[in-house]
Amino acid sequence: MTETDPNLDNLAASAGARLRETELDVPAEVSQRLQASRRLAVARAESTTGEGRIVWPQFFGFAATAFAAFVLVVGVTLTMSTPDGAFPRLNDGEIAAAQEADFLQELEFVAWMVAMEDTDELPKSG
Amino acid sequence: MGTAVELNLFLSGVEKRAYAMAMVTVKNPQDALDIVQDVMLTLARKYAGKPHDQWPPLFYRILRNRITDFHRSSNIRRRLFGWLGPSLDGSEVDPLELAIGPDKDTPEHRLRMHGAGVGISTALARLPARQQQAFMLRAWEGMDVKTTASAMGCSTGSVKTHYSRAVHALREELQEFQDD
Repeated sequence: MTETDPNLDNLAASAGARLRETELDVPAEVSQRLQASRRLAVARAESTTGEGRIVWPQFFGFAATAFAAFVLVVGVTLTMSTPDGAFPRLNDGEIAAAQEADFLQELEFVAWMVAMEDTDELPKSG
Repeated sequence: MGTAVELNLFLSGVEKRAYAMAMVTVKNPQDALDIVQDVMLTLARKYAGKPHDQWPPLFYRILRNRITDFHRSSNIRRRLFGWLGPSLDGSEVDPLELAIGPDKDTPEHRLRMHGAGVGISTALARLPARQQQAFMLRAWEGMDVKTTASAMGCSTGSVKTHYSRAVHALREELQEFQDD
């Protein structure tokens, strides 16, 4: 660190004071332009920090909720709606799957019946 | 709104000083005004929400960056288009106009250019950029060492070194103030 002569420090302070005095003496057009720039900056600050500012996290929260609700409504509508209010039409795969399920249920029923008959054929006690 | 009023007060207190500081280095009123406007808008857009005591170092740091950008782009422009002539777009300043010649270094001229202040301004313009900044912020703006370090983006030790060198380099011009 370099030390500064206290006398020079005082002179620098005097120079600073003189510079502060002279800086105020600017031409009128410069002063007007500075004022205009300041007004512009203050207006910018108001729009940036004011109540009219969009709070982006909240905005995205509302937007996401609205979008999810829209998708839900559209999905339910498309799923439930059928032409002329009839029941939904099933395709071949769905029909085959339903028939297969019925067949399996019948097989289970037959197996249960056989099991019950076997149980009936057991020697009666007493 | 509180912030807008505070910002208006702050900017009204520093705008002329910032203009004068920019003029020391860029030497062209229009360029200096553009730089100060850009600094004001940047502070308002990015840092208006910061605590008010942080505005001065932020303001002067932005000013320093804008002046550096200006010199950088001027150098590039000069290298690219310098061979075409100095006043192609009318924005270039004739170096002879800036030079201190016998007809400019007169008491009348100095009086017209705000007395002794112009002497120190001219001498300031000859200093290296960091010494200029240290002197401007410490002596002219009246910042303490810590705030100056924050504005310059360096350590307090560096501020003291730059300031000391600036004051020693300016000692001849500073002697003028001893007689006041």
